Amino acid sequence: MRSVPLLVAAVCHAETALSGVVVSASTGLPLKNATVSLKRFAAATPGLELPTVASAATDFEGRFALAGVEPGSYQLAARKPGYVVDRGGSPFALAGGDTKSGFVVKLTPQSILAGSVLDEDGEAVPRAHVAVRRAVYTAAGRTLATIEQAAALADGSFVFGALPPGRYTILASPPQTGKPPAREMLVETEVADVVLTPGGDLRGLKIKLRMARVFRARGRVPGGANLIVHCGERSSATDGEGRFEFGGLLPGVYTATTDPTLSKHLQFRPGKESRPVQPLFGSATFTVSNADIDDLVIRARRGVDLTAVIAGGRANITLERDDGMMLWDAGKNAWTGLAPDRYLVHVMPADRYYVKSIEFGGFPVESSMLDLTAGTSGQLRIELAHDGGLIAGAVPDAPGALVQLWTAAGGPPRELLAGPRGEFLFDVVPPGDYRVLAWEAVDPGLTRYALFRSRFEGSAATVHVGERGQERVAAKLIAREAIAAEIAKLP
Amino acid sequence: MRFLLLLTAAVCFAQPAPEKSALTGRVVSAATGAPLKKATVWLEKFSSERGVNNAPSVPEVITDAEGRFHIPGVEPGAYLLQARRTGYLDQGYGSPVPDTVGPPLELGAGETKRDLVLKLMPQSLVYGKIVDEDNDPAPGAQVAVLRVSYAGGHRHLVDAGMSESQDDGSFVVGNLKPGRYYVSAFLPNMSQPPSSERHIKTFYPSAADAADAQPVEVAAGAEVRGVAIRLRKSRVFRVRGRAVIAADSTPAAEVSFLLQPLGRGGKTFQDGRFEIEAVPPGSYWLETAPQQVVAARIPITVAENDVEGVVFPIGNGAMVDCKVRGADTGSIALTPVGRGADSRFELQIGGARFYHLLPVAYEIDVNGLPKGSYVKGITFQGRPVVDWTVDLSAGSGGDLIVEVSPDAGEVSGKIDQPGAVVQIWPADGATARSTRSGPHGEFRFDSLPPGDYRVLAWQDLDDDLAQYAPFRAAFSADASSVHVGERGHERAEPRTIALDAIAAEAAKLK
Repeated sequence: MRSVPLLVAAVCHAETALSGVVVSASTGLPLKNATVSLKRFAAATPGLELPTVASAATDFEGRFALAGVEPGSYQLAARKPGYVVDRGGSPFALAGGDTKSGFVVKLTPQSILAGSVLDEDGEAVPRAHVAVRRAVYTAAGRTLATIEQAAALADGSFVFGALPPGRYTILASPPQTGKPPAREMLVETEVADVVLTPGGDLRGLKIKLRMARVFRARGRVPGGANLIVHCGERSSATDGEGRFEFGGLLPGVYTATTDPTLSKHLQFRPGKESRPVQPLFGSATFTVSNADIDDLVIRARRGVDLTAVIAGGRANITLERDDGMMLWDAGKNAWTGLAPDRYLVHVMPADRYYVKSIEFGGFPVESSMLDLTAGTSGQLRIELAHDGGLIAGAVPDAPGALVQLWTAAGGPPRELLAGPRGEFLFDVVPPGDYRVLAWEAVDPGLTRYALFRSRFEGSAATVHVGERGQERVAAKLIAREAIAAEIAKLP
Repeated sequence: MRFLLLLTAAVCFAQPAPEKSALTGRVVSAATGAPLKKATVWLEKFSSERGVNNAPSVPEVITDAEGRFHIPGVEPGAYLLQARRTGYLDQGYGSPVPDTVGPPLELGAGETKRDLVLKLMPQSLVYGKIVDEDNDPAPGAQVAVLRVSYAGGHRHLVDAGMSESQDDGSFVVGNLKPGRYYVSAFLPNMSQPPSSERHIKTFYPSAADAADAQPVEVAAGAEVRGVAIRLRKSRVFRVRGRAVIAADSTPAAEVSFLLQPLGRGGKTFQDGRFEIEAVPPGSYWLETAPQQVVAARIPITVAENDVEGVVFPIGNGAMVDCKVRGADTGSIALTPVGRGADSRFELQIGGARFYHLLPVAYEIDVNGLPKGSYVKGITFQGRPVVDWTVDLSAGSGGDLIVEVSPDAGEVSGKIDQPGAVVQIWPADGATARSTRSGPHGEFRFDSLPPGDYRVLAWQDLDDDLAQYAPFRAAFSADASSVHVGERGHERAEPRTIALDAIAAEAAKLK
């Protein structure tokens, strides 16, 4: 009898404690003064920064200890100047009174990429913008994405640390001066195939900006006062007569497009006249060869109006434009003056509801991709249901694996991270046929690339979920080595 | 009679608009004499106000491959001609030193000034590295290159350039004039491991106190390398307590607070609790942050332990009601003594009431009074205010009465140099007023309270030194004396102190 209350007391008061050591991945030597963070693991948020619940500094022997943590699932992350940041290892579970020791966190020494930006005379260009880009994959295939950027220092120099080994492209552009572009100006220069080896520094990279003859394009949007006009990364506001101007254009083909969404906001500018701006959409493509252009005309018309009706429940709807801009209407479910563009429809239904179908003008909207390029206004009909099923399973021995649920119809997958025992659970799954893929460590963007994903279709587990069905699947882990081997074969 | 009037009108009408003027010249390197292309040259309308109004009156021009520039179509008048270029220090035409505007140029109608040469001094750079106690790089440190300033009447260090240490711990600060500098580095708390010891602000080479900092001598156009700062560590402690409403001891929720001069703080929780992490030992003031409807301040001393159980009573602060007699335009401002412009409150005369003031001493300044008026006297709670400072440290407010008299005098005169700094200060006071002499060396001070004054001119003077009374005192024998009576108009022709004499005396200050 006495033993029972004692046991309970022991469980309640035993401190949850974990300890370990941080070492260099290259030498194995302990690292002092590293910051170790314990983060609460959340399965449903791959790629999201997790909340830190406790942190500690390592001592002279690289040791750390964390105590007094509530039971739950956690990840350990570590950082130290001079080393690549470790954003978190495999998740693990801590029960009340657990004492876990022997954690080893390995930090990879950083490679330094340093150089300077020069002008056409070889003089330093302070405040030049330097971007480090590397190849990433998306649904559309291979593309370059900026992963680090900085302004050059007083002597035109730049230093980037914490870059993982790999092949990079460095893009340097002249500083923004705010002055109208001259006839000749410094233009951006790209240095491709900069290779960083593990632990190896690359210093003394010289990027010479080139001087180029640039041109100006002036034009008009008849009846389009106070609009925003985009041209690549440039933008210009039209004046009272609808006139706009872009400077600093290199020879090439450009498209100038009015932005009805942004133009609408102009009427709220403080201190300016608050005459409502008619949201107009139009575009004009022009070619700059070796002269200024003065007579560009953009014929603009009203944008597309969209309303949404939701059947079977309540939901928030956000439209995501091609350029990533999110358009939310504060729950009114009505949008006016949308550019005739393609939009991804994000529907966030109330708890335990799912999106059964989306229709626009009586036709189904496939993969939530709404095509308004025809310029016709209309109604979006969204049907919700709450008879979703459930898919549970496990990836053996793979805590933290990226688990994806792909529908037979296509579109982006649902994804989450496997828990401490490799377990996963997809809830509120619309009835239908699915494939489940589990990846050891992969850039989620890469899995969107159909050509890459197709190589692993054999590893997918297939499952059919009925209304309120409860299914179990055993997912097969796609190993790091297999992923690397397929990446090497990509175009 | 009628005819005559008409004729006059016709003559006026027929008078052509004044002819435009122009300037041409070259920009060269002060170091090599070589022409500098791609330099920006601009004109600014001359004003006797010392400051620079950053709006160029004429579009900027860029020098060509031979360093030449040409500014056509300038309205006749007095101008400051200036040039800047990447890698060089800004330079005013005719100024012997960089970063100052130089004497004004007078352009007659239709006149073209030729062969103007602007000599640009190459920038100096300081290179170095920030490391920790193991000589490992410390990235993300705020690095400041500092110089001595006398602004506000006392010696202190101000930023001459800033940078952040890079991922390998290196830093570079450019755009420096030749001179003596100090370098400090500070690692923000968020980029330090959570330990009971933290890196603290450290001066080159490894000093915790500015008094022990080693200077870095920087020559014109020099690249000074190897300025390595080894960050010092200090034990740090936690300060915890509760903020309560002073009147009824209930929790004071969501009050923003600051620990000064550390400059860190936060917001109290719903139950009034607050916590400040990682405080090095020292004496501090726990204060409510500005722009709130409360004000309070208590001293905190951190020695060798965490400070627990601090009770921070929050009150409304003091209210000062300013009544200005004898003027109905202008403004009055209060600034806590020793604080920057971000702590300054300014209100228009006429119902100027300052609420929620901290229990500290405030400096008063009155601006924009009608021309020819001056502040004859100030009283607070019925007692005269001396040195423009009102002490609220007892915590209570009251009426601040400002007496304005319309009987101010003026002093005008002429010196032998255009564009020099002319100063006037009361014979028994510390605060000087400054102006710049015009194209013919003329100057004028108005709205002067009656009294005895000293007047002196400087070929050019650092804004900072201009307000340092001990520096001026060294030249008191050179100053002209002038007595200004009520509504008096006096003339003065003071001496001009040359740059080398100024530099020699400034050197003695160190």
